[in-house]
Amino acid sequence: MKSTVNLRDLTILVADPSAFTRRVINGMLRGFGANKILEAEQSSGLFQALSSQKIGMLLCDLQLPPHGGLALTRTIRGNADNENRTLPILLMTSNTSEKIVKSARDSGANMVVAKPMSPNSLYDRLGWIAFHPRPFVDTPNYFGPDRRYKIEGFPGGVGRRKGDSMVNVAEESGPALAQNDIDSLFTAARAGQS
Amino acid sequence: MVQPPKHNAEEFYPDTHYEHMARRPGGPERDKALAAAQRQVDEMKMGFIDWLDCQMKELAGVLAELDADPRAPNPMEHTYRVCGEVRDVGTTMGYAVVTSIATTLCEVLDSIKAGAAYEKEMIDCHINALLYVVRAQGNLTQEQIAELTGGLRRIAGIASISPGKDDD
Repeated sequence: MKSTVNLRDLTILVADPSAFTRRVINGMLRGFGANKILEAEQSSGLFQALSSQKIGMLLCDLQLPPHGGLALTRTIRGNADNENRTLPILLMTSNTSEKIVKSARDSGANMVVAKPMSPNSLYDRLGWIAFHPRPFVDTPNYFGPDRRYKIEGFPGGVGRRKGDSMVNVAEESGPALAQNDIDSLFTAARAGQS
Repeated sequence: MVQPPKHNAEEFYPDTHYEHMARRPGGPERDKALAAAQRQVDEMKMGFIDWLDCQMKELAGVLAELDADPRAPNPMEHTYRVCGEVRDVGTTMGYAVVTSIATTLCEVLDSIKAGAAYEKEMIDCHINALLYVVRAQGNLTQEQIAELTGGLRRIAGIASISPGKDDD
């Protein structure tokens, strides 16, 4: 039996500067069964919502004013006293260059979904975060989901962590990544893990 | 003797509230959830052309400001924001051509922000293309769409290599 995603009674925060886009995402989420959806058009509203209630999932635009989704994700992940530090964050962006996607991953986002979105692309990423969570890594320089992908080790066979063997780094590619390519940058695929 | 720095990397599964809630049984089956979400999107499609028309009016106003001072940051950011909003929902609303036009317009604006010359005609032809789509209510043939988007893509390509005024 295939897994289903149950969003009922889960509070989801949609942060996007465009009212129309928020409405579209809100509609998709309601179609998925969500019934508690909050919206924010900029960071101040987002942090207000985070501080006043328990948010289960954050969908945030990469260009959210004033400082953008990357800085916001780093802020959420960077504060050790913040109870939302491990909050699942799905960043949304129309700029899917490899550089941007890697920046999103390195900021601590769980996933990136390309805009314009389809119900299909959003649902599958919500399901992925629910059923295939990546472990979190806490280091002096980074806190967030494990960023390693297709890692079987590192150059010269020198593993950074126990169990790593040889590295398989993605080639630099064209200016925009397809959603599948974006997903591959978020897939922890160390030896022994799928 | 200098000790190497310690890197105490800790790995753990946060076991989030989201995972607990989303994994509960009782959620709609994938096909039904997608169909319901698509219905919600389809309902919004009826108002999309009207919304796009409003965005075009907003663009017309801010482009007049941009024409007056192409290097002024506020009109440029405002123009970019409106174009980005159009780009971000066009395909979702069933108008891939709108996303395509808005994408190349954003690329032209990116080039100008990066220092390329401000060529009003490059922006106007995108605006005219969007207005054409609004007037046609999206009823364009594949050939028309290919010609339209192909031409605009060439324009965006020219804008990306257009030298700025200082380089003349």
